[in-house]
Amino acid sequence: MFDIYYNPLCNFAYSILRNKTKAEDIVQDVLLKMWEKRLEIDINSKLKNYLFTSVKNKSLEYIRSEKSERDKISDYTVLQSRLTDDKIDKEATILMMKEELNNSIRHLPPKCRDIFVLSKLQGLTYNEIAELKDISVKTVETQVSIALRNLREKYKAKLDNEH
Amino acid sequence: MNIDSVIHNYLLSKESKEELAALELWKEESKNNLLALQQLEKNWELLDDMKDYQEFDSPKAWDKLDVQLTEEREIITTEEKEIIVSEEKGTSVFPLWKMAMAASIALLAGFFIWNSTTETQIGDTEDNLGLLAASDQVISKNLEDGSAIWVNKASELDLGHFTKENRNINLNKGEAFFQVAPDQNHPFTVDVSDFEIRVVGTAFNVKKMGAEIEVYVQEGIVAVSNGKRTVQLSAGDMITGTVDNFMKFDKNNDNLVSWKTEKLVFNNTFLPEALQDLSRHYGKTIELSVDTKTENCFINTEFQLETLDEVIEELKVLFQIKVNNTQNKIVITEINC
Repeated sequence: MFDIYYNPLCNFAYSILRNKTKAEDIVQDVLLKMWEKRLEIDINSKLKNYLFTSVKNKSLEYIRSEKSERDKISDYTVLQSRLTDDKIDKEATILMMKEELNNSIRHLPPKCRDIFVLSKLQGLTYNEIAELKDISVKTVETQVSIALRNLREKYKAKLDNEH
Repeated sequence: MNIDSVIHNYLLSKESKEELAALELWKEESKNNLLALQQLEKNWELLDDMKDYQEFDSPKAWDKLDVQLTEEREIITTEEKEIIVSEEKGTSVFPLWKMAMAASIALLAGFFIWNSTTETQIGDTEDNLGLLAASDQVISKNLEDGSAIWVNKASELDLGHFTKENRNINLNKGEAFFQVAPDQNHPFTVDVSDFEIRVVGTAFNVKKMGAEIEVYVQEGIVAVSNGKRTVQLSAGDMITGTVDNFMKFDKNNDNLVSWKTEKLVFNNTFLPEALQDLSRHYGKTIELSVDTKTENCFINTEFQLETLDEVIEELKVLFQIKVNNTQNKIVITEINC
């Protein structure tokens, strides 16, 4: 449970607070509270909703209390309109998808993961990666292809298992 | 034909007709081939939106929570618990950063660090250990290798044992600007823990806010590395982010080093962007209230040594703005472009 939710919740809190440390503090606080109250929460259906909404509330509470020092944080009201219940639900779903993908990328072979991240997440061109890593452009292409095969085979295995 | 390479080219939209045909055949082989490919395509798009997605230290957080839960089971008082939590914050907050820079022509670098470990000394001092600290004004110094450095207000450099042969400087806190004399044989390095910026003849600015850094290149090429991967930047490029996750932009804005040049130049600049530069330069937020219409607001002017009040006066003349000026920020409530 913790592993699945920690990164998405922190990313969500960070999108509101723009402060990594505070984001982690708030998420840890929420997870701790959840643990304490675990018997009262309907884990299956409402957990995601409960966690993301709690993180939102805590984050906004923090902004309210720290507003004078935190001029950089977008206006409170703007945040509130961004964070309506149905929008949070969508954002939460996307963040959970991102975490799943992030997790598959994390499990790629190291060299391949490195090149894949440089290309797709850091936005480097194949030429730039080749130069940086002192390898040929063809190798970069092959490594990205391998990453894609890994991901695809994972999805396929999952599908095959379902039948 | 290798299907992996075909799919690769297909996702990059550079597949040949033959490859597309092969792909169609492959898709027909099994329904799950098709479904897996669709999922891959979906995630491929999702990846474009993941440049901001960060990894947080989940195992460490779990350990921390585990400790707290154990304590709770042992019924430790609330007060004690709070002390423990804040002590942990003290060690986990703001990882130390390391930046090393090597230059062969010229480089400028600046850093902002909010998590100073030591207080700035009162007055501007350079003690025997080579500490160069600026409190309320920008100071500069010529180094024996021919390089020059500027230290922003509330900033501190540790020159250590800087010599012509050993060109290494530590930035303890704040922001600084380096103009490095070329010397291919002796790299010029600035350390801020865990990060390395290698310079191939250049001028650039670095800023640090909490765990995030910002590197802006004014001239030449800079390679930024966190020890695992390296990103190359050329003039006008900027990267921002954390040591785990940073990304590159085409920024092209020399106003980012206005603290040193004491000059802000706007060349048909979109006003909201100009306001960001002004906020950064004067250390006070200037923002537009939500109902102002700025799509036609562009500014052509230069500020040099003006006070913030004088800048606001000029904006009043240029755009008939009305402002609400408080201690923390200036809000533009009306504008006419």
